[in-house]
Amino acid sequence: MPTKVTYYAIVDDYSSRAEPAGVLRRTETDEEQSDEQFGHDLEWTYSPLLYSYERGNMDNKLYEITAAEANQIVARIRRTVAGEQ
Amino acid sequence: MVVVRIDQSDGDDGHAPAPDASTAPDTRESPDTPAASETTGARDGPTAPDAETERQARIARVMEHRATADATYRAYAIDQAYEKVRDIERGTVTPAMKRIEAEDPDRHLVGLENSLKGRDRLTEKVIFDVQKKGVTVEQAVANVKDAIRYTFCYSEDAYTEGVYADCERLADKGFELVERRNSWDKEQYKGINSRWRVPGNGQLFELQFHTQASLDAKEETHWAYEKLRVGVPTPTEQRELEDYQTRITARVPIPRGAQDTPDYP
Repeated sequence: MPTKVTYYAIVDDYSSRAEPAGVLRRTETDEEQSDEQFGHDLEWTYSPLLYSYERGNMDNKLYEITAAEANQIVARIRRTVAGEQ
Repeated sequence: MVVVRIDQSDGDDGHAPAPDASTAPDTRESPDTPAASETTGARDGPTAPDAETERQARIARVMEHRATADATYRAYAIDQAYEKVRDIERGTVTPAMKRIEAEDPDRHLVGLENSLKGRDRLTEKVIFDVQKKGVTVEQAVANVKDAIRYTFCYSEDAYTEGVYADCERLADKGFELVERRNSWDKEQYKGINSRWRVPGNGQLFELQFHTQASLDAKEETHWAYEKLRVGVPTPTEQRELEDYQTRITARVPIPRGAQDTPDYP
């Protein structure tokens, strides 16, 4: 299986689908799978959020989005954090 | 379990003695101020590099004190929130859930002794939100949906009707349904999870609806989920752990009508 990347918008109580709290990407190959989240620390780091969501955890909602939408969220978070500093 | 300490700074010592001017780092020779070195000695003169070094040291001290103060305040706020949640659980929600349980002998509450989330786990969630989402401690605490949680376990035959009946009983007692998510068509987990609001104080709690088989599968795969949730598993491990959960969960019989129970909202 070629590498497949699926992006998800993370929506919690402080955010909305229009302005998600963050973005998560799942990268899959034949033998591997890797979940990473981009947040206010401006880094892609391992995230268990999708695993929790798949087990019924309701702290966040995850919506599948396109790569372009994911890039927009990343850019918005970068701008927001830069503005806070 | 990973325990996130919040009552001390990230460094080895949150209260390091403040360096004074004589002990502040001073390793630079200034090519611009030879006279100062010649007349007062390299470490004594108030040269521009020394002033800059001292300024940086002051900034570092202020930031260190601020981090310590933030951590102390965070720990205090979490403690306060935890006490409040515990009072609501013991005084209001658990008694109500026991009364609802008594209305139907064909299903029962399980794990009642774990109805209050542990303080360490609550702290872990709050710290994550503060650091990753840039929210305040108060917002983060309010966003923990399952600080109080219960599970009803039904026979397969009585599952679907039982879930509807218990949702009605909760509503009749004034609890407000906030969210309900049906996972009976999912690969990783079978069951229905719901979130309710306590009248009067707005505290949220979680209620899960299971059969014995779905509860067994959830518990059997819990170790795998914990490895995914707490650690930083390699991509190979992530795949193996998810595949394991899928295999175990696939054995769970689906009660008649369970997949038709609608999500809310």
